[in-house]
Amino acid sequence: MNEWLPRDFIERERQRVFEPDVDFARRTVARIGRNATVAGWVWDYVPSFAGPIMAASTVMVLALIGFQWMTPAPFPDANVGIVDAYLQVDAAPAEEWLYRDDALPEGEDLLIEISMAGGLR
Amino acid sequence: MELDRELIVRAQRGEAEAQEDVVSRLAPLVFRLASRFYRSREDVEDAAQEAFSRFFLKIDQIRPDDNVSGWMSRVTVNVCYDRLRKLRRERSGMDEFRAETHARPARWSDAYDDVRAAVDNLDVRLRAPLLLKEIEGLSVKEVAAMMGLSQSNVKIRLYRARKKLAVALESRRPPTLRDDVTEGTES
Repeated sequence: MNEWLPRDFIERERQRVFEPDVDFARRTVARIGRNATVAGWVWDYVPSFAGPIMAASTVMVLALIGFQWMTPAPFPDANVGIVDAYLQVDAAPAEEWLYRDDALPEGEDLLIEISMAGGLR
Repeated sequence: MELDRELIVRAQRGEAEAQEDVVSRLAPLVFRLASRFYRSREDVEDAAQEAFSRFFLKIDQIRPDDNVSGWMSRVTVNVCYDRLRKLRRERSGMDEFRAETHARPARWSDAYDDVRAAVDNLDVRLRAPLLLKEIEGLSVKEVAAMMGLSQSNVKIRLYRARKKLAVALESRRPPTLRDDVTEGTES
């Protein structure tokens, strides 16, 4: 086979094999059953290489939400967080209806609302 | 050795009896492979149990036509490889101690023990392909498939393992049997 590993070593290593005992299957299945009851959360389905990325992303999202909730806005009468307040500055009055969840008025009502907001000249 | 489809389907459904049957049939293969990497029965059994845990965690991904024993072999080798790498990181501080305990023997008495010690001291990235190819008798292609490596990567690792082993074995030979050592240069 090769001359760089002694044949005696190869033969003895091949003979050095442990055998499972008669109870091994039962013990193994019982252990797997026990582990299955405590494991099986989302991390089992995340590939190992993606774990740190997902953990860092989760921490960043939670930090942003915490920051938004806990930091007072720089406006005395505002009841929104600093992130919302910052984003709202960019929206002109004529554009605000774009970001509202209200049902969009139809036809003539829409034109009236836009013109009142100064969107049409 | 192949398992019948019905047994796999029953094991996938979570039937404990079928799962025990699967473990019983695959255990000799798993133990044989794990025995290549470990020297104690406890280590082999721990690795085998972890391999079966991983196997049953992913058993839903097995299709009826898949080669189940090939699947199990890959899982086992990966478990052994991962565990040895983890162990190596944990024991990195013990390197000096290990170097002392595996110091050159006083005489060239037992070739098997010396080769075994030299193989055990190889980095697991080199040792795993070496054992699979030379002891388990797998081809380079089979080792590559089992370890998730390219064939050229396996060949490179085997070449490096061979070189390191040659150096290690040479350094273990007593001075009287070494060609390259002149008298008085050895400590």
